[in-house]
Amino acid sequence: MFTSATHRAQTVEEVSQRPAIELEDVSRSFGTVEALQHVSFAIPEGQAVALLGPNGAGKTTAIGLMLGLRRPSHGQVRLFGLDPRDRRARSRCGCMLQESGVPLNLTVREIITLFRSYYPHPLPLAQVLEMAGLQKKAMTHVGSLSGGQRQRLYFALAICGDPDVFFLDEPTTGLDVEARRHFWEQLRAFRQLGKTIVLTTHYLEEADTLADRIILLDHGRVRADAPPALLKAQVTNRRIAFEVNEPLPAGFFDQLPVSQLEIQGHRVSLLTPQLETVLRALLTQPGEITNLTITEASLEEAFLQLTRAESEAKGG
Amino acid sequence: MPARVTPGSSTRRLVAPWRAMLWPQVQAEGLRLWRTPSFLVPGLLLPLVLYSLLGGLGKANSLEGGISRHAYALASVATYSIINVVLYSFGVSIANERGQRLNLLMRATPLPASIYLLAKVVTALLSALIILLVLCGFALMVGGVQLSAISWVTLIASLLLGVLPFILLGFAIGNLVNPAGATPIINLSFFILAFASGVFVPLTQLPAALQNIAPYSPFYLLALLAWNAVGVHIGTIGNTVWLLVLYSVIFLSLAVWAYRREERYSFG
Repeated sequence: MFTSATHRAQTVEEVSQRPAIELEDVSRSFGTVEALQHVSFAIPEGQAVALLGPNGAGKTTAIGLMLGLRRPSHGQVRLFGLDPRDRRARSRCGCMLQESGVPLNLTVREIITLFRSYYPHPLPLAQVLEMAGLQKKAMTHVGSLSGGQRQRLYFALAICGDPDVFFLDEPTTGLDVEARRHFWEQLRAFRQLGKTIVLTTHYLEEADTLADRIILLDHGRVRADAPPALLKAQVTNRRIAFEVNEPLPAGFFDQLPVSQLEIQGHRVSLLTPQLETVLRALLTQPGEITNLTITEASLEEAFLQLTRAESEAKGG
Repeated sequence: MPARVTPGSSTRRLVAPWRAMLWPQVQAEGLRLWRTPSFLVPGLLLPLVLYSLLGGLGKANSLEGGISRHAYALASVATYSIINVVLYSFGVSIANERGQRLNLLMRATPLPASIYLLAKVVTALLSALIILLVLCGFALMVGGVQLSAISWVTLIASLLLGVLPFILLGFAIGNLVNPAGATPIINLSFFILAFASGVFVPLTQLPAALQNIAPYSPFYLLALLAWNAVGVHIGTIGNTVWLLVLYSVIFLSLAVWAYRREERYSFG
């Protein structure tokens, strides 16, 4: 309706050479709150990216900007080389939004049929119902669905247009463990079709499991941007745990580079970026040490260290 | 469904055609509207009750100063019904959609706002047509109203066209009011407006201050069109039409302002 044939041909050619999503020096403020500050990244087609960060980090704002639901205060957001508000760009997107409602007095089948009509090449209704696991609920009114079933419906609405890019804003918040695992399986199946996925989460396990790239956001800024394994390697923290026969001398750890020190009776657990130094000190002291284990820091610990380092550097 | 073609081909459709979107949208809007009890009871049943209360059920066409009481009641209640439908399906439903964050869900889809609004207009007018047909059928069968075919058609047509300013007003209110209080606010103000307009209570029985204003209320003006259609001649048509056009312009400005305000707030 809004595009001529020639315009269309040009755009497709231009689009195929560009990344699926580009943010160029994007800032967004709400009143005096700076939700995003000078954020830049590009996401090529077929990549699965997790935007990870604590509440208020700017994850939802970033998704809103990429979907064209919000405008940047500064900078530029492109979706397939187009304005995210362009219908041609929107027709290639599917999304599950944290805060959106859904009409309660339509049946599952009716609302999926409606949403399919918005897209140029929708998936068949039966396939959508099957992929979302809603075959038995097709005739049920949306208002009578359970929380988990409603989340499946959002998934169905997100995939029914056969999108090239998925945006998922905290898709598994409020789901039980089983439902979450089921959802991850569905998402993995979609990844294998070469779809681009952008998800926000504060479940670190989720980012680690689903994404091949993590963009760490904190206070509206990108703190890190790397594959999960690299992000963990970038952080040199190791966790050391052991048992002592006699309590260590008071002030033993004072001069050592340790954090998150926990002493419970004979058990001691700590984090350190300088494994060798701490081990040398432990093994040269007179007391005996047993059950020594050294583990890589979890993503959560890596994340804490990264954001703390940044804020210390900033706060000085 | 056409086979998937490689990216770069210019033959693959990039957006859904508007014709393919409009009808499913009208269907869904209609289903949602007619499944809402708070729409059905005041929308479909109340007009029949009002018609009966206004004396539309008397045995004969009792005349008062040359005016057919049945025709007068029918035209008044028909006016009430159609305004009620559009204020509900624009005012109440848009406010509720904002409250439930349905607008966010729709916003993220490729559905253009124009199709969304057009579907709402079509749904509201089709629903109004159904309700008017039920009311006219009731007046004809039970009330014994005698009108020529032309009068029936003129009544329905002038109401469907003349309701435009109320669509715009409903759209403005739907974007302005706090979603939590939308239904009572709209219902109450509509009820006051209806009774202060001189449509259900004769002008002469209104407080003096209202007597001069009421004939210029949009409600009264639309009722004038309806009365004229059924042969109840109270005022002139020419002025009425122009005044309704003037109201449309005013409410359109208000609607555009309200929509932009909501846009800036929720999607700016």
